[in-house]
Formats: sequence, C-alpha cells, structure tokens
Amino acid sequence: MLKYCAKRLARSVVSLAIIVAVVFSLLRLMPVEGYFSQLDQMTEAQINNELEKMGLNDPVPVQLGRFYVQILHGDLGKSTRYRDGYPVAKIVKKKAPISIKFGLLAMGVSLPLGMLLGILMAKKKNGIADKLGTLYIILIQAVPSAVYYLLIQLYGTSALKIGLLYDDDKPITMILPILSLALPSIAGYAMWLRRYMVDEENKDYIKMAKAKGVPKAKIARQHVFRNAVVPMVQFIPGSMLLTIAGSIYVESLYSIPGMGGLLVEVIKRQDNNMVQGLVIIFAVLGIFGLLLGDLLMALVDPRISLTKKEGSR
Amino acid sequence: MFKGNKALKSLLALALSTVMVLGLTACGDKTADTKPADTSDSQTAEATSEATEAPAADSNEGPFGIKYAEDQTLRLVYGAEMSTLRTYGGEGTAVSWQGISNCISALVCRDCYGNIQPDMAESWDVSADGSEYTFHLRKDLVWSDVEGNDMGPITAKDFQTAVEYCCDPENGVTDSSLLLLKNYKELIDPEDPNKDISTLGFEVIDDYTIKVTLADVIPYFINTFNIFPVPTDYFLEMGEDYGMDNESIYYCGPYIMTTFEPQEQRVYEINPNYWDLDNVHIQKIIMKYNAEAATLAPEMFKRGEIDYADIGTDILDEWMKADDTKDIVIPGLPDTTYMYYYSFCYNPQFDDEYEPDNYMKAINNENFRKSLFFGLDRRKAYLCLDPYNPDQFLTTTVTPRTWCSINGTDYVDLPALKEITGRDNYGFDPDKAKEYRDKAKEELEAAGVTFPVKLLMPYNPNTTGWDKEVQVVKQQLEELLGSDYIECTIEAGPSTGFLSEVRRAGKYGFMKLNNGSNEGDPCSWIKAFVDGANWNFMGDVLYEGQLPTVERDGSKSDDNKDLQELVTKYYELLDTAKSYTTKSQERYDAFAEAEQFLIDHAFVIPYAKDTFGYHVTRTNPFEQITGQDGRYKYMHVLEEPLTNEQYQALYADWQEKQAASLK
Amino acid sequence: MAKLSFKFSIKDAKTEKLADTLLSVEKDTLLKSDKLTDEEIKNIPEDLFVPHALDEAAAEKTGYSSYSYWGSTVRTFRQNKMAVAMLGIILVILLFTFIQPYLPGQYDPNLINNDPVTGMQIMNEPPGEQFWFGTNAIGQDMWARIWAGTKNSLFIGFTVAIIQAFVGIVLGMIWGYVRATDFFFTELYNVISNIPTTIILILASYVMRPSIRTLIIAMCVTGWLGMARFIRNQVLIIRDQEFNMASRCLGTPVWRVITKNLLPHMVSVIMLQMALAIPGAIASEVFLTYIGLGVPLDIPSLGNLVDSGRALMMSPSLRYQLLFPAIMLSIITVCFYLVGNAFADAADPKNHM
Repeated sequence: MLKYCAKRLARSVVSLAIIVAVVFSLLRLMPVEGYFSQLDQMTEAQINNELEKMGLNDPVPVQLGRFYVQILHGDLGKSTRYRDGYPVAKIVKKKAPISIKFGLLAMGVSLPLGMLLGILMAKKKNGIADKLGTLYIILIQAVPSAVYYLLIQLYGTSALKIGLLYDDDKPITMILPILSLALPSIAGYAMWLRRYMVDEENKDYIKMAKAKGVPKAKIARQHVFRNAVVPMVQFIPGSMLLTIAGSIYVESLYSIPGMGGLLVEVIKRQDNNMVQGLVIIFAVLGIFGLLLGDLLMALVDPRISLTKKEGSR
Repeated sequence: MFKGNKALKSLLALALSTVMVLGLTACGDKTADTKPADTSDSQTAEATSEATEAPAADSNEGPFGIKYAEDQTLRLVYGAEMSTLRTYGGEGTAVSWQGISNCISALVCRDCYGNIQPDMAESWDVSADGSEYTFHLRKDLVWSDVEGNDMGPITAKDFQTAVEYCCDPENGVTDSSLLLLKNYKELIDPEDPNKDISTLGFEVIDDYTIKVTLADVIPYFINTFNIFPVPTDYFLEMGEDYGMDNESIYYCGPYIMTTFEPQEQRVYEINPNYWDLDNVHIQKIIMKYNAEAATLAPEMFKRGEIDYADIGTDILDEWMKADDTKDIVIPGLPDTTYMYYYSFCYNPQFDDEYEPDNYMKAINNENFRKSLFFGLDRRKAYLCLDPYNPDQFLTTTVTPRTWCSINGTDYVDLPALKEITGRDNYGFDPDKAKEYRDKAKEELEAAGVTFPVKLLMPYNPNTTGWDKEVQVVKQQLEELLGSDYIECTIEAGPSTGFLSEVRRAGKYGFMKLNNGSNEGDPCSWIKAFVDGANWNFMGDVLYEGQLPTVERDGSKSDDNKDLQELVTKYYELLDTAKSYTTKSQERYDAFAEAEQFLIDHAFVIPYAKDTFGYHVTRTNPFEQITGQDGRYKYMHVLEEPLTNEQYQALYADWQEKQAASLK
Repeated sequence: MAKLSFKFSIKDAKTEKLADTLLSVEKDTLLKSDKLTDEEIKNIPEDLFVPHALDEAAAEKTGYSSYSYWGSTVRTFRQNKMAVAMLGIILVILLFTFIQPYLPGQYDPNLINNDPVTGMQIMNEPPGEQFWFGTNAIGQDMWARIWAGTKNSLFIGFTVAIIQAFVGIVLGMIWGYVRATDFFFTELYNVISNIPTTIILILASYVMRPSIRTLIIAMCVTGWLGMARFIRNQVLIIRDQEFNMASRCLGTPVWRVITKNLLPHMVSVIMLQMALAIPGAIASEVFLTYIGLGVPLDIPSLGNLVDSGRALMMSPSLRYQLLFPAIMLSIITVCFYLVGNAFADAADPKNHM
C-alpha cells in the first residue's frame, strides 16, 4: 500500500512536471504583450530591456528550469495584466475560499438529492420516477445552461425580492447561485448512481441473494447501494478539490468574486504568469484528487487492490 | 467609467490620444476661489465666473426641478477593470485613468464646458513667447492615506519625483505630457547619451513653484499638459509596490478608494483632506464588477439597485415604448473625446489570403478611394449605433464642428472646408461613387489589378454595435459598388488586445478607426495622420513596406507613386500650418487647407463623433464634462431618474453657457 | 466546456455503461421465471418426454446461423419507435437546412432587410407574416439565420465527430494492440486530461482567428483522446476473450478478426461517441461564443444566435430572438442523445436476439 502510494505520487509529480512544461511552452508562443501592462507606450529598446530583465530572451528550456526552481520555492510569480505587480498566490488565496464555499455548499445540496433521485430511478426501472428523472437529465443537458441560469436569476430574484447580485452580507443571496450550481450536478449524480445500481442489480450474486429469499430492502441497502456507490466515491475527493475552480457562468452572473472565469479572463488578457500559476494549481489539485479518490475507493471497497496492474482488466 | 464597453472601446484610441486624464473634469457650480493668472491663451481664462448657476452644496434641489437624493451614494455596475492604481508606469488604459483621476489630482483640470481650470496649481504664468509656463501650487494641499489620515503637505518636490521617475528609461515609462517638454524624448531614449536630468524642461523654483519649458511652442499646451505628484518619501520607500493596491498609495484627489478588489468591486469615499470639499457632493461610490454588466444593468436600474445603465440599441426600442421607461431614456450626447473615421490601411500586414499587393495597388488609385468615399452611406451605418437620431453625431470633416473657432468663425466653416462641410448626406453620393468606380475600374484593370478587390473589415466583438455596423457597411457597399468590384470580408478580431493585434498591426483593409484628443486646436485631429503613426499608416507609403516600429532605411518603392506624392504634399501643408505657433487666422487657414487636402484626396472618410449612447441615470450628465465620464467631483445623485424633458432643458442651458464660455 | 470540477457528461456516462455491459456476461434471459406449480407439472403431456431419434445429418452440421450484424442492428433499432422518430426529426432538420434557402420567399441569412419606403433597417420586427421568426436588431431574418445557424452548427458537430472518431479509432487501435505504446499513450492521456479543456480551447481559439476552422481544430485537439481511450479499452477486453482466442487459434486472418470479431463490438461505442460528440461540439461552441471566442457574426451559428439572444432576455418582447435558437438547440441535443443511445443499444451484438 505504502509502496503503491509512493509510486503513484512519483508518477503524479512526473505528470505535473510535464503539464507545467507543456503549458509553459504553449504560453511562450503567445505575444510578449502578456508581460507588460503598457506596451504601447514603450519603445522597442525599453521592451527589449525589460524582456532581458525578466529573462524572457533566454532559451525556453533555461526559462523552464528556472521556473521549476521558482515553483519549488512556492513562488507562482506576479500578475502583469490582470493586476499589475500583484502576486498570483495572493489573488488565488483571496478568491479560492469563495468558490470553494459555493462549490461545497452546492455539492452538499446536490449529492444527497442526486443520490436520492438516482435510487428512486433505479428502484423501478422504467417506472414513473425513472421516466421523470430521465426527462430532467435530458432537459438539463439540452437547454444551454447560459440560458436557464439567467432565467433563474431573473425570476428567482424577483420572487425572493432580493438584489440581482450576490451580497456578502446577505446569506439569502446565496440561494440562487447554489441552486444554479446544484441543478446540473443533481442530474449528474442521479444518472451515475442509477447506472451503477442497475448494473449491480443484474449481477449473479444479487440473483443468488434473491433466490435465497433475502428481503428486497436488505438487498437494495446492503448489496446494491453499497456496491454502486463505490465507483462514485472515486470522484468525490477530486470534485471537492476542484470546486476551487468555480463556475464561470454562475459567478459572473451574480458577481461572485470567486475563481470562476478567472482562468478565462487571464488567458484573454494574456497575463501569462497568472495562466501558469492557475494551471499549476488546477493540475496539482486534479492529480491529487485522483490519487485521493483511488485511495478512498480502496478503503471503501476491500475487493480493490491497488497493486493490481492497471490496464490489464 | 459608467460604461464598461465604452472603456474598452476607448482602448482603441489610446495610441494617439494624449493624456486623457487631463480632460477629466467638472462642473456646473464651479466657483473658483482663485483666479487663473493671465495667459496668452484666451481660451483658458475668463470662463469660470459664468458657470455658477447651480445651487449651494447643501441645497436639496438642482436646476429644472431636479431633486437630489438624501443619501448621496452612487451605485454602479461595470464590466471593464483597472489593474493598478499607479499613476505612472501603470497600465495606462482609459478605465484605469478614470479610476485614478478620482483619487489623484493634477496641476489643472477642466470644467463642464471643457475649459481649463486651476486644480493643484492655483494659477500659472506664461512667458511672452509662450515657451515657458510657471505654475503656482496651492499651499494647503496634503496627502491622505487610505484611512484619510493627513500624511504631510504636497510640494513641488512631489511633482519632481514623479517626473524623475518618468525620465528613467529603466522604468519603461513614456509620458505623453512630458513629451511636450524640452529634452524629454532624449532622456528616455536608452540609445541617447544625454542622461542629465537637469537638461529637462522642468524646474522646481521653490516648494510651491514649478517652471516648465516647452520643446516646441504650441498654443494649446495648457490644454494637453498635465502631471501628477507622488508622495516622495513613501513612493521611494515602496518602489515597485507603490500603487499596487489601494493601501499602498497616498491620495490627493476628491476621493479615497477604500476598497479595490479587481473584478469584484471598488468603493470610493470622500477624501476629508481634499482642498475643494465644497464641490464634492457624492459621499460614496460603490462600483460592482459584473462580467454581464451590459445585460444586467438595465434590469438592475429598473429595480432601483443601481443609478446608471446603458441602454443598448438591442433593447432601446422596448425601453422607448414601455410606459414606465419611455420618459427616462436619455439620448447620448455627441462627444468629441474620440472621433471616428473609416480608413484604408496604407501599410497592409494582413494575410496573403486577402491579397495585400493587389489591395495596395487599388488604394494607390485615387478614384478607387473616392468610390468608397462617396459610396459609404454614413447615416445608414450609424443607425446601428443610434436608430433614432444619427444626425447629431455624423460629421463630414476630420475636425468636428465647435471644436475650435477663430474670429467668430467655426473652424469647419473656414473657406477651405466650407464646401466639404456643406455636402449633403455627409458626403454620401451614390452617383458620384459609381462614376468613380467606373473610372477606377478602367484604370486599375489597365494596371493589372484583379477584381473584386478584397477588403478585410475586422471588428472588435466587445464594442457595442460594431458587429452590426460592419455587416451593414459590407452589404451597403457591395450592393452599391457591386460585389464584382469589392469583396468585403468581415472578421471578428480578438476582444482583448484588438488595438495592438489588429489596428496597430496593420491587419485591416477598410475599418472604422478612432482617435482621441483634447487640445482644442485645429491641429488636434489631423495631426494624427502624421508619419510614424500606427493607425492608418499613411506615412508608411514613403517607405517600402517598413513598419514605423523598425528603423527605416528610407527606401521607396515605386508601386505607390501617386500616394507618395500626395502624402508628401500633405506633410508639407501640415508643416506649413505648424509653423504658425500662435493662435491666428493664418494658422487656422493653413490647417483647414491641409484638412481639405486630406479629405479631398479621400485618404480618410470622416464619419462620426463619439457618444455615450442611450442610457438611464440618476445623475445630471451636465455636471460632468461631456465624454469625460468618470470623475465624480461636482456631481450629485438624484432622487428620481433624470427625465428626458429635464435632460433637454439642461442640454439647452448647457449649450448656451458653453458657447458663452468659449467666446 | 468548463468541466474542471466533476460534473458529468452524457458521453462518458453512456460509453462507460457500454463498456461495462460488454464486460458482464450474464443476460436477462436467465431471469425468466420457470416456477411451475405441482398442478401444472402434472398437466404436462407425457409425449413431450419421448426421446428423439438420432439424426445423423444434423449431427454433422456445425453451428451456423443466418446472422447478419447490420441486419440485426437495424432491426433492433427499428423496434425503438421513439428513437426512429427522433432520427426522422434529425434527418428532416438536416435536409431542411439544405432545402430552406431554395424555397420561395426566403431571405439571405446575412441580408439586412431595409424598409422599401424609408430605407431604414427593419429592426426587431416581431414574428409575423413577412418574417416568420421576426428580425434581429439590424433587420436580418431570424428564420433564415436559424436555419443557416443550424446548418453551420451541425457542420461543426459532424466534422468534429468524424475527425474525433477517425483519429480516435486509429490511435486507439494502436494503443490497444501495440503494447509498447501503452505507456506513452497512457501518460499522454494523463497529462492532457489534466490540463483543463477550457485552456486548450481558449488557447487554440486565441492563437488562430475566430472561425469555423479554428473551432473545429480546438475541439478536436483534445476530443480524440476520449474516443481513443474507449477503443483501446475495448480492444484490450475483446482481444483476450475466449471467442477471439478461439477464432485466432482456428487461424482466422487478422483482417477478419478485426472486421468480424472486434469491430462489431466497437461499432456501438463508436456510434454513440459520434452521436454525442455532435451536441457536445455545439455546446462547446455556445460556450466559446459566450467567452468571446466564437465564430464571426456573418457566419450564423446556434452559438452566436443563442448568445446574442441571451443579451435580450431582460426584454420580454424580444425574447423570441432567444427562444427560437434555444429550442432548435434543445431539439438537436435531445434527438442526438436519444438516437445515439438507441443506436448504441442496437449495435451491441449482445442485444441481438
């Protein structure tokens, strides 16, 4: 187990290094504008001077090496265009908790509701609950979220008699953004759980249990559900960690000062240091989440041995 | 600052616009407590006393039955952000300047009629030849920190520190105001050996006196020159971190930015140490960022959550018809912060796909240019921006009417420009266009140009209405001139960096360009077509395919002979005009002649003035200088939305007073 | 789309399901009830239990059936009435996007309609007789724009789906068959799947100018990976299954192994992936338009129609400009989703009775 963890960790670090290298090189392809806040007012010589100072005239591998050292010191660099001269880490530190708060609250709502819906749907395949649930899932997929989020905001705020934007001091303004975030997640959780439960129900040992006369409720509770939840467990740590990324649509509609859209924004503004910093953070959390998920799954399900070779099935 | 998209749009103009802050401004009830000193420029002085109709600061009522709100808190949403509070070495965008200008004062400012008024300098003297200006600072000025504490007096040294910072090439700052001063250009050029800062035309006489010497004598110097102080000790102590956030800067303007969270919100509160508190009425300004501001703001205004919203042309119809809103939709004023032109690109850098060589040959032909000049239906195009009243914005000349006048004659009515000004339909003439087309076709076919000529028409998707306008223009031109003659290709440019990626990069064939100025001089607008300007690259025809950013070897190609001759001639006219250094009939006539030449040879198609666009507001727009939205000194928050009726009354009143002030 | 956090997409969920069902061997048929009461047992006629004589000829016969893969697939698919109807809708929409411009009285989608009297643009005209779906803010016919937009969006969708499928299948086969490449591809997959898709989409759209081509390239850059991975998993699973080993032992040529043993098992996955890639691509396009990197306005697409409609949501009288494109988008998504699923079920040989 320990050996496996160490191995996985080492591989994660390698993947991370590669991701950093790829993103770093991609960003070198972008115009140098991304390093200056007022390029238009600078002369050719001034620009060159600054580039030299920042080490951007060195070959990419040299820069990359320097960047690795910099990250190891925990320094993500400074923003140039998004917020001139402000450390990337400081920006993230301010924004991340807000997105995490919303993300976790939305997850707290959607996970139980989604599971409940999934169970109801799986209980009677092609029953009314199943059909309504499927309809809901399809609708959520089919209607562009940009559209129904706006509808929720428009009518929700007038129904609740609150302002259109999120207000720190009024917790009631959190309801609509959380609802918006939860709607698609509920559909997602329900869909997966239903899938896994239906699959589980078709397995031999369930038939065996039925044949033996084990009460239906007991089968559902002790066998079907417990086993069906295992594959979902794998995703939970990752999705919890990645709530940090926020939601671009919801956050921008309600003026929530979180991380949603930050990445898009800094890419569009060509703030190269910010892009690098954010990608690294997301990648670290993504990889770490995957690792945690695997470990958690192994804990929950004693049948899973992590030492089994991957890919052989 | 009210307008998110406007701010973005204005990025476009930064290349040539000079210090915008300068124009930020003020109004209405201005009673200057000190008199400006005598200046040689008749424009600047005198106007002050006439602008004093508005009631005293604590009165609850304004002119024309406008009621001021009890709670003077202005609430706004915005969609474009500033990234730093640095006055120098900052990002230098319009948005950021507007944000800063509420917090930092400068030597002089403007009133609501666009006239220069004293600010930190209580008066100034001009030497007889107009080459030296001496500014006398107020003695009661102090710095404030973010909490409003008194952080010591502001002296001439604080201006000097700022200037020294801008002179160090290491800092990578080029200040357009300082460029007017002697030796500044040399000092910031790393190649130039002259690094002796004492040679700069900037001198501190004593703690409260600053003397500047001009590089070239220009009559409009005071209109365009402006510098801001920095708190010397604190500035040097903080170094690079100065102005990074709202806590690492000292304030000397009417407001202190108490909250600065980019892409979240900004809050301004009154600066208790400001010298002119009597004229600061709004106590607090809360600005919330929303990426969807354009969509949400009108609804938020309706619900009373904010005090200003732009009404885009998309929803204008509905707002003009609905009972609850039809009276409060205010049309935008024509505004000369920026002027818009349609122009060709004389040094095309676009992809081979659009045949730059063929294109260059075509625009070298005057008849070709004229066919588009007369073929463009300006009014129809402008309907996309204002479907109700396009006429007040359109223009036939490069310099707008009422910009400047000499001996009682408006510049555009001078003999040289009279014919152009009087044209019907702003110069749109389909018959003439077709005539020129036929001529051009004949000549160009002989010259081996292939038809249709491809015109690349990029637009910035973030600029309201431009996407629509470009489609209208394409269709109108192709229909009139025939799609076998020209083929317009519409292309969406990047929304951020449009200016540098498209316009300054020369990646367009026929595009709407804009340009900003605030000098109040006939040279203001046409001087933008100088050599080395990276917006329509006219000067580049004198060189062979070399961009102004590289050192040019001066070699000419023979391909654009016609253009070269004309451009050379134009520069001669411009030089002649510039040689008259005082405000005189000769100067005005000479510039008018140059402008006539520019338009007659269809180098550029004058198009329109800028506008706020339709909006709803709980402020009085005439308390600000037109177009320079963003400075909240002098302004009030109104109890009720301003009605159109009140607006019209205010406008008439303003026009009258402005005319009087310019006299 | 910006799926940085764990959300879900139909695509993954459905293909995963297929992979799983392919793995599980048991069939529902085993569940058929065979409980009989004593009474019934007694009533069974005796003659059913007479032993059959040995048929020499039949004994010589090897197992052979007239099974045709595609025949069965189509048959199974046709049983799903709903899916057939949806397929019909897709075909009608697709066909109509091509026919529409040639119908009498149609406007060009980019034509700005001017009032013949005033010469002004006919702005924001509500749906009516002249303009069936109304006009937009500069007087373009929404009806024509929606059909042109649908056509362009479907074109993007189909192209993306085809490229993804082709690249995915080829690389997936290599990944699955050539063991030496497994490490490389797995690492590649890990790396790319960890870079947020948004970044890749934005970078690609940024480096290249906004155009249909850019959108397609941006979506294909990462899209093929999902397909490749599924193909690779299928190959791994089937390669070592008994029937395939038996087939190989009997000397079946590689080509036949691929076409008869492997491909039928994968057609379902491939078709499902392709069917879902289309609405997926359209959704990505809507997203990219939202963040300002979509196609230029003179190329109507569902993405930019929905996006410009969105800005009008606050004005009830103009909502038709959002409603129509949104409905079209929803119909397309639902149809592809249902047809994709039904076809995947039908294409799965295990569902062929």
